Amino acid sequence: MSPRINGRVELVGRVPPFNILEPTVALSIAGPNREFQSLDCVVDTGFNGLLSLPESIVADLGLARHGSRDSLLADGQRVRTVTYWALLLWNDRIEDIIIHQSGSVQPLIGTSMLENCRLTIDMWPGGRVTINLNP
Amino acid sequence: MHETITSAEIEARGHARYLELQEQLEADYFGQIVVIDIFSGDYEVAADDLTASLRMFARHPEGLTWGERIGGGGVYYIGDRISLVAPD
Repeated sequence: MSPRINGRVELVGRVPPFNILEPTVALSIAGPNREFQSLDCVVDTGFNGLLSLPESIVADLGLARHGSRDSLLADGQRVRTVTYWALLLWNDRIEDIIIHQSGSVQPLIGTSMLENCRLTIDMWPGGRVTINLNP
Repeated sequence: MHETITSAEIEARGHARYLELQEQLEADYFGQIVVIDIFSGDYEVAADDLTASLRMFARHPEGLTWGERIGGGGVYYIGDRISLVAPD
């Protein structure tokens, strides 16, 4: 069986008549000390980077600075985002990745992370989320 | 060294270096990603940020980088799409 990351769809609120649902999977991320932490991350197909993390988690992991990057927001605003290096456990390998520090409270997985994977989501509360790493 | 550099300084140094390189970069690599080490001014071009950043990190492990999509348009979008039109 090909390697997979499994998660679930979390019900995080309600905007009647709809539920607010977040497809979530856990990823193992570390800083330079290589002490990996499991973080619940929301799959965000509107973000084309690898991963964004809240400032508090960036500080907690002690990530090394990478630099600064231009990002376009949905409302057309252009902002500079602060970026960091992190280590990601992915498909039994440790990969160097670029992290965007965000003002969001939730880690977000972007579409670059999902390249060459198959993402399936059962979009209801408690539904299954699967990232097939080698479809 | 890193802790004393603000994001505004990264932006200022990176953008200034980009302006020096802009004409040549836009002629040769329009739409690709340039990553500039803000201390040395050294740069790398690749189709994606991570590839260019890893090459730069190999040469300047203590570096800090500024990045831009050559020709503009942003390296990343967060809920938006990149719209990029090549010059005539």
